[in-house]
Amino acid sequence: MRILLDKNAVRRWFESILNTNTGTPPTEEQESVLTTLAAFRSQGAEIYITLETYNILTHIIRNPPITRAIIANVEVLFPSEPFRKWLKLLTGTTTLTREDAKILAYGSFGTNISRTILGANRVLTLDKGLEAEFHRNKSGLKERLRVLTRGLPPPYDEAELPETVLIEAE
Amino acid sequence: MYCKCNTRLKMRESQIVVRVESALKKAFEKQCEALGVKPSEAIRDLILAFTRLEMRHRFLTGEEPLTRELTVARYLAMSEEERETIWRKWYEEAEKEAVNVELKVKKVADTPR
Repeated sequence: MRILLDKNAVRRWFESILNTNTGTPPTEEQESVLTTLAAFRSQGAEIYITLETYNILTHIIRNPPITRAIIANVEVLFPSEPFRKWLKLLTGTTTLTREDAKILAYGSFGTNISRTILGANRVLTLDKGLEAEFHRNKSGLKERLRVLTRGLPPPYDEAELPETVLIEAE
Repeated sequence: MYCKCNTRLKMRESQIVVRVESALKKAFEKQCEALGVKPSEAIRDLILAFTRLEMRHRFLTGEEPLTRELTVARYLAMSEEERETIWRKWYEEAEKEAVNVELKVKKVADTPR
């Protein structure tokens, strides 16, 4: 199973590293992200982040020992050929923000550097808006994706919508 | 949810994820049982693996640089709104960089081996 983290889930993970290594307990939200990751990982799930989030961790945040704690545990998803087309459809037919549409587009058309995988099974998010909007449009998007993939060569013809996992602390 | 150490937290999911959560919980407990470890300890170790720094057990002092302008302490002193704003700004910068990386990756992938 492939789990894709959105920017905010990575942010909570990053902040939990700062907190725990400065002697502060993680917040409930951060702890919630960590335990969910641990549970998925215990079942052999692979954890992915997007190229954009990877760039934040490697180009903008300039503290390798801190970011390595994340990078050592994840792999990166890159956009495959049909990614842009699907992203345009997502932004054009829903009220999803561009960033939210992008994470869902990675969920269907993200690939690794050697292009041996396609998409992610689950998108892990803390964004209620993303989850709500995705589920409101899910059946329509499923149909649009079916139409799009019909005209695509393998392996893109097998692309699917990911499921979303919303994490929230009580 | 998954173990005693996490009872005050919950994960709200779409319909399918409810089923996944239940399956995960059972599989996690089964795996712990097979390994002879308590679920709470196993999950604690996994969590540690996600947050451990390779710094010979040194704590961060807060003075470490995080970005060109920010230290760890300054970041931690930010409000939730400020953190959200700065991550949004970082994301916009990272998006521009991603387009360049994307082109390089395509070039590497298209190169005959």
